[in-house]
Amino acid sequence: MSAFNFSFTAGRTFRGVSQKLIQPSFKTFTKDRYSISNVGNFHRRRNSRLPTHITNVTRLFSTHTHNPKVPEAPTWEPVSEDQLPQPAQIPADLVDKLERLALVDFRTKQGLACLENAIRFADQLHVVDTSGVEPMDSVLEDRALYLREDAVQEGDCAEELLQLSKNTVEEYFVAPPGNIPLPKKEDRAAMLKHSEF
Amino acid sequence: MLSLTLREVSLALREGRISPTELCRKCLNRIKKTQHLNAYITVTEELALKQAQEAETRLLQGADMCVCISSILCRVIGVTVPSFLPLGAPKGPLDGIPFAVKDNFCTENIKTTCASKMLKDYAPPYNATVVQKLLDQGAVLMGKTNMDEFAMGSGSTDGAFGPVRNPWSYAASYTEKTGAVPESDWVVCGGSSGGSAAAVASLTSYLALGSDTGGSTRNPAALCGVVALKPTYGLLSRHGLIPLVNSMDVPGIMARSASDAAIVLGILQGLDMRDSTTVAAPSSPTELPEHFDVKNICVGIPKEYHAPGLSEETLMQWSRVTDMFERAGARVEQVSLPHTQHSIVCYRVLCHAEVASNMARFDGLEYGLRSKVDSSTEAMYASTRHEGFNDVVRGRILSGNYFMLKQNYQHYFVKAQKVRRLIADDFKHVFSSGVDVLLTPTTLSDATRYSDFTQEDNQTRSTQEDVFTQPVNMAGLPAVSVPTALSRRGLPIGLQLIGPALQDKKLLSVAQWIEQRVGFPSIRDSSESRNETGVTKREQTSAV
Repeated sequence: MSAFNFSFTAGRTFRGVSQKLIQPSFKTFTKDRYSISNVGNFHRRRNSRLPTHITNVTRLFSTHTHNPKVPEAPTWEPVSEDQLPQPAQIPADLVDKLERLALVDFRTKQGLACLENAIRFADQLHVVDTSGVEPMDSVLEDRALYLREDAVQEGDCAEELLQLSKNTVEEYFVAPPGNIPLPKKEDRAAMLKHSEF
Repeated sequence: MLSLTLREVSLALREGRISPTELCRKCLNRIKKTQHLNAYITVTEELALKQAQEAETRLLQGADMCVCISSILCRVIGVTVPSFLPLGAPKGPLDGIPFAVKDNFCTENIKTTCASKMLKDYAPPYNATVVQKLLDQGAVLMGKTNMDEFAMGSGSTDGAFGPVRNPWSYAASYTEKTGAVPESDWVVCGGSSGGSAAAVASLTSYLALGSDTGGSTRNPAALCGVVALKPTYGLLSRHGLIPLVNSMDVPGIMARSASDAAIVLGILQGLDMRDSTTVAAPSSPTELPEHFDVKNICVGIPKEYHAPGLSEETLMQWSRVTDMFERAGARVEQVSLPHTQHSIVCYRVLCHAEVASNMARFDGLEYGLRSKVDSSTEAMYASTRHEGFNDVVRGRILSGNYFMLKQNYQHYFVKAQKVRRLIADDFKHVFSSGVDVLLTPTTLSDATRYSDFTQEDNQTRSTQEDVFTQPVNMAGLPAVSVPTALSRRGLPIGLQLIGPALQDKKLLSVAQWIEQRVGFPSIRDSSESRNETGVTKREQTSAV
C-alpha cells in the first residue's frame, strides 16, 4: 500500500501552485535493498508493517539496481507562491462580462473559485523567459496546407441537417427574438433556476 | 478467442476456426457480462450482427479452398502463414473484427453524445473519416464508448452517463494482492478515453478509437494495460471528431499489441480532403519488422520526466526498461527537455482558450439540446448551455474566455503560445542531436481508487495525471504507451515512447521490442475471481 500512498499524497501536495515546496525524495533503497519512500514530512514506512505477500514482492523488486541514467529523484519543484505576481481579483462586473461573453454562468461561488485557481495556475507562465520567441499557432506552421479545386463535390443535404434541429420551419432554423440583451445578473439566476436542470 | 490479438483473430477468421457472426456474438455477450464496467454508452447490437453477417458472406465467397490450400502449402513449406491472403473477397486484416469507438466520433445515425447532456439525443448524419475507413475495411462496430464529458478529464469519471470502471478492478491480481472489494474499491480507468481502453482491456473488442488531446488515449491505456498510439498530428483525419483543441487533437488507436496498432495505423493514416490539417503519410511497409535491432538506435531519457509525485514502482519500471535497452546494445543517454515543467501550465491556457472557442457552437439552435426558455436568443443560448454542460466544461469555457479578453490576450494566450514553441523546440533539439526515441513514464502511478480519485476536482487531477503526456500534444509528435508490468496492487503500469514527427512506424517497432521482452500478463491470466454463477473466470474464458 505504501506505493499507493506515496503517489496519492505526493500528488495532493503537488497542486497547481503548492503552498510549500515538496522535498525531493531521498534514495529510495536502503542498504538492505528494501524499498521505502519518504517524501517531505511523511513517516518512514517500516517493512514490518507490510503484509507478508507484499514484502515478498518487495524483495523481488529490490533485486533491481536503479539505472543511473534515470534520475532517482524529481528534478524539479513546482513554482512557489513567492515567484508569482499578486493574485488577480475578479470584480463583479468582470464576472458579469464573462458570463455574457461566454453565455455560460458561474452558477456557484465554487465556479468563481475555480476561475481564480485557473488564473493563479496560469500565472506560472510568467517565470518563463520568452524574449525573442515567436508565438506558435500550429505545429504544421512550416507546411503549406493543400487546397483542392474550387468545384462543388458534395452538399445538398439541407433536409438531413434540418432534421437535427428541434425547431425548424421549411428551410429555416427558428430562433427566439434577437437583439434583446441578456437579462441582468439578478434576473438571470431566476431564469436559469426555472429552466430544466 | 477473445483475448487474442487482432492479427491472431484475423487469422482465425480466415482459417475458418471461428466465423465473424460467432465472434460478434461472443463480444456482444461479453459486453453484457461486463456491463458493470459502464464502458459503453451505446451498444450497436443489430448493426454489429448485420456487419458480421456481411463479413461472413465475404469470407465464404473468398473461396475457402484458396485459403485452405495456401495455408496448408505454407505450413508444408515451413513459411509463416500471412495474416492477410489477398485472394477472394475479404477486405483486409480488419474484415469481421469487432471494434469500439469513443463517443466523440460521429457515427451515422448512431447516437454520438460526447457523454454530455448537450448531445444526448444527437445522431449525426455522417461517419467520421476514421470510422468510415474502418467500416470500409469490414470491421464490425460494437458500440460507442464512455468518456469524460467532451473529453475533458483524466479519469473518465465526469461524463453524463457515469464513470467507467477499470476491468482490472475485478481481476484476481488486484483483489487478492490488496484484499480490495471491487464494489467499493474499484479503480478508475484513466481518461478521457476510458471506455475505449476498458473495452479493449475487458476483451469486448480488439481495437478501439480514442481521441488524444493531452494524453487522453495514452493515460487510460497505461492504467488498463493496453497499447495506445497517439499518431503524429495531422496523420489521421479529424473530420468527424468533435473537436476539443483543434491544434492538438488527434484520433488515437488502442489495441492489444503494437503490431495491431500498426495494422490500424496503416489503414487510417493519410490525407483527407475534408480535413485540411492532414498531412501525407510517409510510405513505409505496413507490417512491423519481426525482429527490430535496437543496436541501431539511441534512446533518450529526459530527466525532467521524473516529476514530483512519480511513484517508485513506475520509476522502477522506467529503470528496468532502460536497463533492457542498454543490455541489448542500444545507446542510452540522459537528455534534457528544460521547459517540461511549464508544459502543463501552457497546455491549460491553450486548451481552455480553444475550448471556449469550440464550445461556442453548442447553442441549441441547429443540433443538440435546446432549452424551453425562449424569451430571447441570448436567453435561450444561456439556459441551453446551463442545462447541457457540466461544471467542468463550464469552468473551462469561462477561464478560456478570461484568457482571451483583450486585456489578457497578450499576457496569457500569446505568452502560452510562445512557451509552446519553446517546448516544441526542446523536442526538436533532442531529436536532432542523435536521439531516435525518448522513454518516459506515461502516468504518475497505477490506477487510483475511484473513492480517492474524486477527492480532488477534475482540474487538479488533470494537472497531475497529464504531466507526462501533454508535452507531446503541444509538439504534435507521435507517442506510444506500452504496458510493462503489474504494480504491487496488481494494476497495470505503462511506459511511454516519444518519437520525431511522422516516425510512427519506427516508434511502434520499438514498442513491439519492449512488448516482446517485458512479459506483461494478459487480464485472462490474472483473473481467477469467481463471478456470480460461481464459475471461475478462467473456466469461463477458456471456453471462449
